[in-house]
Amino acid sequence: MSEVKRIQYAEGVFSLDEQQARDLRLKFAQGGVLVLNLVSSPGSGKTTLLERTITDLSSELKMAVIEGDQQTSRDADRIARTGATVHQINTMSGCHLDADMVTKALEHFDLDELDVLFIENVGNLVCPAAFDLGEDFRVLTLSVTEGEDKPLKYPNMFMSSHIILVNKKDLVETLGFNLDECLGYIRRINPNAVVFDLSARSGDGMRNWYAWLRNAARTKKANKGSQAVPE
Amino acid sequence: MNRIVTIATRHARKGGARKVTKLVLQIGQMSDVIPEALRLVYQMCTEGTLLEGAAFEIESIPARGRCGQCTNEYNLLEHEFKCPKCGGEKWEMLTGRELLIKELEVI
Repeated sequence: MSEVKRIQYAEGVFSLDEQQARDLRLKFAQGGVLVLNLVSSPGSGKTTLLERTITDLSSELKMAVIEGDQQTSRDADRIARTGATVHQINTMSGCHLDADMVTKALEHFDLDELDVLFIENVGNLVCPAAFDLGEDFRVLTLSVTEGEDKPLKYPNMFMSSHIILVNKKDLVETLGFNLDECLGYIRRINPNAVVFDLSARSGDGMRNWYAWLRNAARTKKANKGSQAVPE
Repeated sequence: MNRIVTIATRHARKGGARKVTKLVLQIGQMSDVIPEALRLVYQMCTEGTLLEGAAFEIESIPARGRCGQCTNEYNLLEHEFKCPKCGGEKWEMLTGRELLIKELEVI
C-alpha cells in the first residue's frame, strides 16, 4: 500500500537561476569586469545613454554590451557603431533576460579584455526585477516623460536597484515634471539608491555618472580574481 | 511554472516518490507573480510529469511592513509605503516577497 508522505521545505522558485547567477558572478570577479544590469521601461533612453557613455569614455575604459530585446538587432546596431563589442539576445515572447541567456551570450566576449560589461535588459519594469544576472549593480533608468510616481507603481524594481538615473532632464521644464517629488518617492521606496539626474541627449549631468562608473570599474579591477564578491 | 515543476520533481524523486498528490506554493503580494496565471498554466505544465493530476494550493502572503518611526504595522502596497498612522516614510518589509515551494504531498 502506498502511503501519503508530506515533504515540507521552503525552496525558492528561482533557486536554479540563483545558482547560475552565482556562477556568473564568480566568472565576472575572476575577470575583474564590472557588470551592470540596465533596467527600465521601454523608451527611457538606455541605449542613448550607452551610446554616449561608450563614446565619451572609450579612451579610458574597455566596454562591451549585451543587448536584450524581444525582436530586432536595432539596438545592437546602434551600439556597434560606437565601436564596442556587442551581442544581441532576442527573447522573442520573453519579457526579461535570465542568467542562462547571459551565460550563453558570454561566449561572444573575452572577459579578460574588458573593464565594463553592460547588460541592457528588456524594457519592462516588472519581470526583470526577479532575475539576478550576476551583476554588480542594477542600474535603473527612469525618464521624466514617465511621470513622477513610477517608484510607487513599480516598487520591486526600484527596491532592487542600486543606481537610479533620472534621464531626459532637458525635458523637465517642457513637461512640468516635478523632480523633487520624484526624488522623494525614490527615497521612500529605496533610501539607499545612488541617484543621478541627467540627460543622455544634452550631456547635462553625465559627468557625475561617469565619475561613479570610473570609480566602480577601478574598484572591480583592483579586486580582480578575488572570490569575495559584493552581496 | 516550468521552474516550479523542475524543482518539485527533483525533490519528489529524491524522496523516492512515484507521484506527487499535492503542491503548495507561497506567493507574496510583491513577488510579481499572478496566482491566477499560475493556475491557468498548471495543468499544461505538469502533464506527463510526476505532478500530473496533483492538487495545487497557493497561500497568498500580504506585503506587510513596519513603520521605522512609530513601529505601526501596515500593508505597504495599500498605503504606498507611507505609514497611515504617523505619515512616516521609513519602513522595513516583514513579508510579501515570498515565492516559495512550501510543501509537497507524495506517494
